[in-house]
Amino acid sequence: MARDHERYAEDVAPYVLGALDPLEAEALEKHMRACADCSRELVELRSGAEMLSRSVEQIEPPASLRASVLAEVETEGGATETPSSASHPPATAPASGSERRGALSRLGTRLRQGGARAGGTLRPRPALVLATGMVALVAGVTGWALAGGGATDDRTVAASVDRERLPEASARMTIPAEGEDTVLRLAGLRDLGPERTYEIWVQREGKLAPGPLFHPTANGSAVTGIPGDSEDIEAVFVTRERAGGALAPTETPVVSVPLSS
Amino acid sequence: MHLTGGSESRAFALIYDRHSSAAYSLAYRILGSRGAAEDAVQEAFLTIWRSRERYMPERGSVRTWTLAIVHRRSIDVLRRNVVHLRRQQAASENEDRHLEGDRTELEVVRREEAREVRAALDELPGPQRKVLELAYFGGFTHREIAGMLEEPMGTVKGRMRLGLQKLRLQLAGDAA
Repeated sequence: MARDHERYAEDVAPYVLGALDPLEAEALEKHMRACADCSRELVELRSGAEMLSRSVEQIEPPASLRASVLAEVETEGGATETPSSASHPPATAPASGSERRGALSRLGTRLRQGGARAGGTLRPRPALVLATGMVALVAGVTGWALAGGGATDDRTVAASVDRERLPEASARMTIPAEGEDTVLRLAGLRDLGPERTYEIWVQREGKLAPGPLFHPTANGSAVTGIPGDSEDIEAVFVTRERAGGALAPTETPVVSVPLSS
Repeated sequence: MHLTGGSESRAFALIYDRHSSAAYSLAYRILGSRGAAEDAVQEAFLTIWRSRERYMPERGSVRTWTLAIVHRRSIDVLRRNVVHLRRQQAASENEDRHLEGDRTELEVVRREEAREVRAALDELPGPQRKVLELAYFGGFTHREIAGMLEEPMGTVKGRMRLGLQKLRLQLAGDAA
């Protein structure tokens, strides 16, 4: 058994690089379902492989590709794949066929659950706080200070910044009279490094939706647009997430901009 | 937050918007052809949509998951087309790259990040960097690489492992 493990363990790196033959890959996937050491090694080496993917020159796909992919998704609706194709191999516990919860709903739930995994420490479940709206948000967070303010035709709205986590930050949001995007401007932000990112959250009709990801410039400033119609925005939040972003916030917001009373 | 009904496709569109550039760039780097890269990225995102219930955050971020699928699809395409067309097409298509024009802040950050990662890659010992590039971007199996380099397969696998570990640790160190 130990010899088997050693044989498989040396295949994890070529597997991550896509350099195993199909039969070898299949055998390793089977082994990893029962081997915690190899599964751990897989996660570690995958982050190395992701760095390789990040090293390539960045080019933009054509807009027609987006239209084509999203049209296909709309056509397929709620169809999902049976757990046979290797999109996230290997799953230690294949998804139950009886679970028919929607798509990214489940993904978002898992991301929230994932909030407890980093470093083995438990983090707050701000999604619950956020879901209950601004009153709960403000009541649940200490050390918030007002930054910015004012109101003109292009309204500039006050932002609250968590001084404990971003002691030097300030933020303000400009809502144009018409036409342009709502813009959130921030300053005094800390660099989060390549593994983390700031993420915008937009609340409409009591529901949160993820927005753009952003990184501050070298001087700690950032300017980011808020997608969609500005009229129905109730609040905007900023959290710090893993690179690539989350579909549900994993921490209490570091910046919040309440718009509805 | 619950994303249900129409929100699912909207959330998927967001995933596409966030990761399609990185996905397309990776596919293009591997396949060397815009058309082939588009096909691979389309296949990959549809796979993500169809297998969305199986996303497991403990195995990496959405971006890691997405890029792993794109990589796999691209390598599949590459191996299907035994002749590596990219080498012939790369030169003629370089001019076609959309490098100019307005760049969003995120794109600028990603390009800066790509430069940093390439610098980290350059820090790796040559033999380790070579096996990583041959496998990850070239689509060669460890067996083929061992044959090309006239090295034992165990040596090639060991270099792959060491290279990936160093790359991860090097960049994690930079982030700390």
